[in-house]
Amino acid sequence: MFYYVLKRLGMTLLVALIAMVFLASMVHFIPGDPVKVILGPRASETLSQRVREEMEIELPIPVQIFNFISRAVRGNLGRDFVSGVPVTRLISQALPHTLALAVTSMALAGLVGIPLGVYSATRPNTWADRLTGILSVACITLPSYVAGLFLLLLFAVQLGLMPAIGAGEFSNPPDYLRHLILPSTALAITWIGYLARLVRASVLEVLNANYIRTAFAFGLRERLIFYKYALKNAIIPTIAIFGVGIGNLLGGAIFVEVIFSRPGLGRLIFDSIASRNYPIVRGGVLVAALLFVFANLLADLSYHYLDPRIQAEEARA
Amino acid sequence: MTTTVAPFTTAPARPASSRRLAVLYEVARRPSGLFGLIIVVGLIIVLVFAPVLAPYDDAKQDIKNRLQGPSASYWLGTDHLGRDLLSRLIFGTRVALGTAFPSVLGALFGGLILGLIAGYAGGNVDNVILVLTDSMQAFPAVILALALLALLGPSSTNVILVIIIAFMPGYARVVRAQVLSVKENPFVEAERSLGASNGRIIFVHILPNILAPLVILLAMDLPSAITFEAGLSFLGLGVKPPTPSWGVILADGFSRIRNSPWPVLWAGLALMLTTLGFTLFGETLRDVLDPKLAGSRRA
Amino acid sequence: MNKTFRLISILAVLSLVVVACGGGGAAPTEAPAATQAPAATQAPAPTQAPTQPPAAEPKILKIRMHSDINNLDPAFWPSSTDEMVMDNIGQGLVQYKPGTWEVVNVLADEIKQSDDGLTIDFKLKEGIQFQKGYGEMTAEDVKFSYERFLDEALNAPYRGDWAPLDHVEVTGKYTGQIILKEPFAPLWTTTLPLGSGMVLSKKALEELGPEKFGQSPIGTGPYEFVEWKPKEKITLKRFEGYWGDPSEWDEIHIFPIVEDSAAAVALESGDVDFGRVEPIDFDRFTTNSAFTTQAVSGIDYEWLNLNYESPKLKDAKVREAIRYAIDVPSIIEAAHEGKWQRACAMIAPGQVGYWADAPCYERDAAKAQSLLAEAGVSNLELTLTTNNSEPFQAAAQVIQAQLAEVGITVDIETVDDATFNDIGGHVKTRDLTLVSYSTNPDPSWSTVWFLCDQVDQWNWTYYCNPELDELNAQAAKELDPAKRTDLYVQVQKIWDEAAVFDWISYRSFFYVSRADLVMPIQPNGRWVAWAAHSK
Repeated sequence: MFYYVLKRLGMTLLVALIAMVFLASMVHFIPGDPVKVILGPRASETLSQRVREEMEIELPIPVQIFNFISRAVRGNLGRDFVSGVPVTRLISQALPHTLALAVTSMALAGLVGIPLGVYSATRPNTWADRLTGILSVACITLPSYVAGLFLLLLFAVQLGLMPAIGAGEFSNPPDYLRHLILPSTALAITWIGYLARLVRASVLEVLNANYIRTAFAFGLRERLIFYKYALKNAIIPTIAIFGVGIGNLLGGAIFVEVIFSRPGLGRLIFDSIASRNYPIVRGGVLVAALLFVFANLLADLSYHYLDPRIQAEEARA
Repeated sequence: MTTTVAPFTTAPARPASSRRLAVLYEVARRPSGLFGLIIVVGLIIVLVFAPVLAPYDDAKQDIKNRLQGPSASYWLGTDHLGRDLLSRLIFGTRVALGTAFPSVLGALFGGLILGLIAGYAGGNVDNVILVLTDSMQAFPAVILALALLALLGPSSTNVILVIIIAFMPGYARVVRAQVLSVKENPFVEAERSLGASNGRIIFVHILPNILAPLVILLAMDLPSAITFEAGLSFLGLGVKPPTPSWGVILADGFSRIRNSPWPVLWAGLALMLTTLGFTLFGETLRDVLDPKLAGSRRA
Repeated sequence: MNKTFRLISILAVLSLVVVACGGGGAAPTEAPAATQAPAATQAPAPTQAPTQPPAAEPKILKIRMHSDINNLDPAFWPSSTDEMVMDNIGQGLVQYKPGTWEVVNVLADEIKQSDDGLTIDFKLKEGIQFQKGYGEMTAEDVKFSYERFLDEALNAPYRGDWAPLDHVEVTGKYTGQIILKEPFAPLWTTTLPLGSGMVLSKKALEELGPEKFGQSPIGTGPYEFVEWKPKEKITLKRFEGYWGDPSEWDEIHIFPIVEDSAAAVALESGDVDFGRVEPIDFDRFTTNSAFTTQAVSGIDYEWLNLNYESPKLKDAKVREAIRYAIDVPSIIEAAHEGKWQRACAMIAPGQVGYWADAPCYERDAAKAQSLLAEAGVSNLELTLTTNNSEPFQAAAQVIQAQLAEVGITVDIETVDDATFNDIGGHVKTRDLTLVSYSTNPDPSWSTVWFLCDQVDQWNWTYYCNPELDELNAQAAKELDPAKRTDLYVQVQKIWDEAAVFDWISYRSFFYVSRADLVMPIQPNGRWVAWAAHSK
């Protein structure tokens, strides 16, 4: 187990390293003068000069990459072109909002998706099951921004029930949560669909497994069996999805943050692209990628941790 | 998302065209497949006959009648410049599919080449390609797209390029897995020892076997590509005005959502139906072509 | 995964560790002396905890601004948003009484201009302190603040405001003379009462340098600068040592909200107390008794700019054709709900220099096409650059469609608001631009941007005509309003012939405020936060 952890950690760090190399050198892959590529129509003399200094464009590319990585590892992601604010500060101001959004969305997805999946697994091929199946597909295919816009339209604009913009303040939790409802629902919808299907499939598989049937034969209370064994197996694929889910969420968060005017990492990256504030784009993308990669690692390791346990219990049963 | 595809065993030899028809028939037999097929066919018809079907030119402005709801002259209403929403949506089909198809095909070919090299060459080349594709997949697709578009600048061609880059690793892995399993096949080893060239092995053994999984992946990725392009256009990083991408209609409608809900509503529905249709079609296709996968824990 | 690979992974981990602990980059981690975030003047953490001892909650005025600030230094600021924020921080010898064009003494106790218009004697009020401990304001500060505009090294874009300044003579701690080389009519309309007439702390400017000062300015006004969170919030705090009557608010928070729909929502929900809205949202507020609304027709001008230097627009017939191809009323309809006033020349009605008989061109597609044919041009392709705000985008698409009808293909290039102001020297490579300039209540303040010396800066038409420059200079020296108007009309006639300006409209402002709040607004649409008060 320990060896597995080390192996996966090593692989993850390698991928992270390569991601950093890619980000540091990306601008050189685009044809043209890197400074002009970055600034576009904004390339006045003063700004170009500042970019040249900030990004150390004149240095050989490997040195640039090395500098970027060694600084990034120590938490220095450069400075904003416009106001000179350290990128790390901007990201640390924005990130908590995105994380709150991500956590709430996943929690919502779990709270709705898992029971839904379990429900249909316990009533296979009934009309309820089929209905859930159709809804699941509908949820999976609905893009998060369309969901967000529809929710905004219905609940905020037409009905006036929910706040349409902003995130509220952290110091006021109920208000903050209220501002989270629509955005996190928009993001959660896709995952509710996936989870419902996945949980249904794994619960069904487990319910049909031999050891469950044996337990039934021995007369154990149905509920006990169910919760102890089947549900545990349902959780495992959920965790496996978690890693991928974060990536999807980070991407969807951009849309949701724009639609609901929420501050956050996605919004930060998006605004900075418009204003051609490249250090923020680069830093933000790096943070997002690292989050994704490590979330995947976590999910992977949790999956691996849980898996042999189940097998061991199976042997004991 | 990662898919492990079991080696596909060749179906009994039948003329290709009738085999394809049989597949389609099987897909249509299932209700979800039928639904998906109808939508897909419908969209293709709309795409091809857009100028005939659309009541107005998609860029024709009628400022006096801006932001109106459905009416006799404008069945779905108008946008903020008085352009007919129905016509814009119809022509938008061309933008949506016209971006999604080339992107996914491009990703497929790119991935095919990468996967062939990785699987066939093996060893360090394989490892390097593996790590590279892993690193590409370390970036959430949208975020990678934003980073690239920040440097390339927004345009339809750049959107296609970005989607290709984002989807390519997925295809590369599938192809690689196929190549690896075919390589182990004793039949293939025998042929090689008899002196068969690499090219022959690729074309006779590898390609036919990966065709089905790739087609499935293609069908499943199309809705993602459509959503991707519309999303990027929604953010203003995609097509240029006055191109009627559904994402642009959404964006224009979003900033005026309090004055007219119709653009958002119709464009959103268009996206929903399109992705639903393609996904149902793709999933049924998968179920038909490779029943082993149906009901498995595929995300 | 084979052994080699495992080895590589371990090496990667090790190298990361090494790099993190030991290896440093060649360059220092400190940024070069470019603009840095304000250092010691940061406010405490973003939680809304009151900054004062218990009991009362701080009284905060929350304002929506339509775009973010950039640089608060009056010599450099690129837009009216900077002006409106700085107006709370800095003050001048004289200023406009809030809500009017009446000039009143502020920092000056007495101020008088000689009959020949060349000498202005001033006596300062005593005991006026600068914010943040920069000491008492004296005549030295006045001298420094005004003479810096002449400094060639500084290269201030607004040097035109003080062009005829010879020097400022300091005659005592609180007294001095402003000495001009020639009479200057705009001195009392746009120089002294506005930003270029602000008295700033010499000590602060010398200590901080203009770049840092622009990010954290020091003045004598009722509010001091606390912090600027880009794209989020600008915080101003009551200056406890302010010499004048205290204003009602403990703090002023200004929110740059670019999306107009978000701004309307913010007003509705009470997240901000006052702000500008787009015409499309305005009607909702006028019928709502929880709000008061004000519509102000201003003097800022909006136009379709043609680049005289563009090879495709060299032929005057082509430029004229474009002018006949567009339909200005429908552009205003699409971009501003038809609620802005149409402009047919640069200077707005009610101002000195207003050209009452300016030609307002009606759309004539046939004429446009025949002009193009005469010029021997077909299948013309032009770029149109504009910023990404909704009204401009709508206007651009309308223009695109209208030009398409006469056979001109327009490619729209969208640029972010902040970037748009930096385009300066790059307009040279662009054909058409959709622009709007804010201006101040003197015609010279509008015309100055289109003289020869502003080419590659703010003269985006790239049209340079020495005769025009001469007329304009004369008009600035002319103290008789009627004669001035005459001269400015001549200037505008020359531009009309050159067909580089396709005038669209004068900006109207639609302000919404909480019903119990009174916000004075200048006749040109600028709000005056420090003078706002509850009913």
